[in-house]
Amino acid sequence: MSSTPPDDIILQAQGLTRQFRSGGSLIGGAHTVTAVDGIDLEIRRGQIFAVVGESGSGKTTLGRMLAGLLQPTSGGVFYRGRDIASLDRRGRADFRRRMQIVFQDPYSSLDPRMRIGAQIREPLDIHRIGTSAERRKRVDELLERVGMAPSYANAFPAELSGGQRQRVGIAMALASSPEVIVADEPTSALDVSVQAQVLNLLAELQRENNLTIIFITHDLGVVQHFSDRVAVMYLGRVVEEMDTAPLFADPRHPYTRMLFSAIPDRDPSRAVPLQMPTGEPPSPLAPPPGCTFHPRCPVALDACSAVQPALVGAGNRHLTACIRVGPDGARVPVAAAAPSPIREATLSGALP
Amino acid sequence: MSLLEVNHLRTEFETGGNWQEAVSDISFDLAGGEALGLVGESGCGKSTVAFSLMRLLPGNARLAGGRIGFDGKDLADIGEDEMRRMRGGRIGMMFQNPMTALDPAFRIGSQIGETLQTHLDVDRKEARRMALELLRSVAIPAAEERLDAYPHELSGGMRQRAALAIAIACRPRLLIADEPTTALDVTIQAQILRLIRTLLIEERGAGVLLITHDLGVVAHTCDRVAIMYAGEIVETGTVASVFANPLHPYTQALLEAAPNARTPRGSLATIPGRVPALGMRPSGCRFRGRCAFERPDCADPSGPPRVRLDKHREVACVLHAA
Amino acid sequence: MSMAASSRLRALSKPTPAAIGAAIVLLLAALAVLAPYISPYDSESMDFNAVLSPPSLAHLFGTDNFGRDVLTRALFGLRVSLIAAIGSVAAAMVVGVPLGLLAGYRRGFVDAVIMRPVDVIMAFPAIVLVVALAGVFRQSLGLMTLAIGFVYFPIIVRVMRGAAIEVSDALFVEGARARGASRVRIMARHVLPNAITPVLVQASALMGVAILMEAAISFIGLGVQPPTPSLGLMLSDGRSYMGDAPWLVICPGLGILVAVLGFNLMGDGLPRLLDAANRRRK
Repeated sequence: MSSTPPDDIILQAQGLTRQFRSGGSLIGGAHTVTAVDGIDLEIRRGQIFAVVGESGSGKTTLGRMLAGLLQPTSGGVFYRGRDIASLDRRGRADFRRRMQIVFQDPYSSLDPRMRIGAQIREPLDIHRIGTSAERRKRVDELLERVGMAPSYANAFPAELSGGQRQRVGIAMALASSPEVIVADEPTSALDVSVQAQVLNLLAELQRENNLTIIFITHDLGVVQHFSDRVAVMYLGRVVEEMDTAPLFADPRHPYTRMLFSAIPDRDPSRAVPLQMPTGEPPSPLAPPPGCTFHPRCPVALDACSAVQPALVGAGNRHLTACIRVGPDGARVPVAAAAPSPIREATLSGALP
Repeated sequence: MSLLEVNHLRTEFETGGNWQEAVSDISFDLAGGEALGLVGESGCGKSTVAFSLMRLLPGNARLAGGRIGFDGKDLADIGEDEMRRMRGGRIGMMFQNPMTALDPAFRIGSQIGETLQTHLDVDRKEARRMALELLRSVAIPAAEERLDAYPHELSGGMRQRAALAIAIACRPRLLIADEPTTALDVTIQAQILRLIRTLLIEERGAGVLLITHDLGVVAHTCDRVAIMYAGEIVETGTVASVFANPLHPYTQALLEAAPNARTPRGSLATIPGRVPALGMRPSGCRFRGRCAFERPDCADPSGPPRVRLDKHREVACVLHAA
Repeated sequence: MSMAASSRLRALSKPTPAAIGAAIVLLLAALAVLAPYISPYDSESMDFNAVLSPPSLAHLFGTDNFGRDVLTRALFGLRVSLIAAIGSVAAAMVVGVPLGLLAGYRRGFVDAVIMRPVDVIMAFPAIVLVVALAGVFRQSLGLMTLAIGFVYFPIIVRVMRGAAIEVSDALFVEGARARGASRVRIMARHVLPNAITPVLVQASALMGVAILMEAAISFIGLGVQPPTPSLGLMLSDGRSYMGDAPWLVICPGLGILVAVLGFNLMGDGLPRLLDAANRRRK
């Protein structure tokens, strides 16, 4: 890739694809599952970029590739315009220092046999940042920064609560002064009041350090509250991408609408969903032809089972992958093969 | 006329040779045709309540007192045989993990059939016919084929539908569902919750006790809600009144802590400290030490007054005492 | 951590089977080390005035056909047994732990290169292999120890590899990679400490087996050579007098029994003992 991105684009994915081999027993042959299928993304410096999707959507695989922890089958991840696969030794070490990850499960993401202090200090040891005394001081600072007493440096993970562990996970990620953090469902395992503390902390840290956060989650409430921009994934592809507030105000892709309508709203007066979701995501082993959402789509056309729609959009960078949505966001009128009136009505009903 | 009437329920756990109260003096009732949400964060005892009602407590726990009125009987008092007939018969159960209800070694159809044959006087053929109907009622596509499927051949959402089919097989009067949709995707969750409402409440007038940590799920599904904190119910009322006008400081904090679009990023309400561990709960009001409105009389060892505001509304807090 | 240390101590002080096993092993080790000082007799000096004398206050377990004190010889024999047991397992671990760790963490090609030869060695019956090796390098305790170690190292490799595979899948290992930790660092600092417990359990059990093996080899005359005492050799020599002087075999037999029991008990309880340090503090 030679095209130079604008300066403020810190991370870029181009045609990012990852396949896994699945099955492969003595009897049956192995299948290839495409977990992530040709994703293009541009993530700006200082942005909180949410990747939202249900289980099997490939969001975690995407996150691990963006973090450089998993090799793409094809396509590439570009950090400051350079393909991370082609970095030399120094470049890779620098990338490992500037790109950090926070995991979902605060129980298995900490080494049970290492004291908290040693774990937070590890990135400093690895990248030889500061003297021994400075590193010790930095551990104390980091603990305090995430709201924990420095005395916890001597504790083992088993002595901490889930929320405290997640704070330690964040402190570890911060230790090497990263620019980008991939946070994979960092609050899904936490109670709502603890989640609030962790989200507030991440928001503060983001502001202080102008961090770029790639926030992977299935929780739309968190997305709406926390992110600047959202990519909605379905079966390995991005089906819609837009800045958070306008997306929630005007979701265009039928899947996004279904997803939004399924969020249990805490306002009981609005508790009746506009549009009841139907069906289940298909098996990634046998994805439907054409648009992979068409078997569940209330407004699908015959053409939807034939054409894989591209993610396209207009000037406001509202990208949608649906043949029924034009670049201006309006529904493309259908001449032939009109869907049933009921389906049509459902879509209109879901429009704000 | 209440379907389920729980009075002064207490459940204890043994830790290090001592019996500690996990659930303290809980009372609530549930009428037919309504869903009650029991909500709280981990460690508040909500699941313990469910397991106490079903008398499925683990070996290190015991019912220490109280009355569980159901169907003219006290479930805390009846024999184990009678209780076993209740479970899966008059009382249906659902858990977070559908595999709790499904045996991996048997086909779905025969598992539902077995439940039917245990509790109802039907033969195998009739049981199979009813099982098929049940699978259809929980919207499992290609139900006929799925009768002969093993649990591992189904997706998580399909398994939970099958578990629901087993739970409602014998037309229970009461469904106790412990986090039934927590492991599911939101689009599947919405469908399961809708099924629970239509199949049990609207069509059959049964009662549903839904245990969850998710306030949105309660708002979606329940008529009334009881908020639990540290083994006690701190507030109860209709979903509409509690969500619109939460009275207990804990309920307020919980609602404000949930991420939403209104609150600017970084300023979600938080609750200082953490839920006290068993045996570390403060005397008096248990929310003491974390509450923004604490007063000296919160420490009164007799605990906060239970203030009844209307037929359904009750709050346990000194702020609302007359 | 004082809390952790004290809970470890608590775990030790409870009379669990593991603690009993550890106590037996420590006691036997102390007896073996101190044998020259606590025993009033010399292990090899003969006293033809007291040939085959039954147990008495002067000779607690009697004397053998050369008038040597059986208990003294058993204590010295225990030294040989423990050297063989600890030495062989230590040698097996020095080689096996790094190889197993590498195979389990790297997998793929590295795994195959390490594991195929290991599988070949494991295909031979252990005792046959040791006997063959001991036959070639006969008459040396050191070489016999190494021979037992050679038979053991594939077992250590396998256990270490299995545990390493499991730990390598943990998120904290991926986290260490994300922070840029080198392979050596990840293996040494994260995988090894979390995967070593089953290896130590296995090692403890193998020490028990090694004592039996040393006894068996010496018994058939391929191990330690007379007059050096060894528990197996004592059994072998005492066998001909078993009807008249059963004490000749009772003392070394008991020694073997107690030592094996001690190592096995200790091995069974090791995981709990090692985890005491990391238990949740309430």
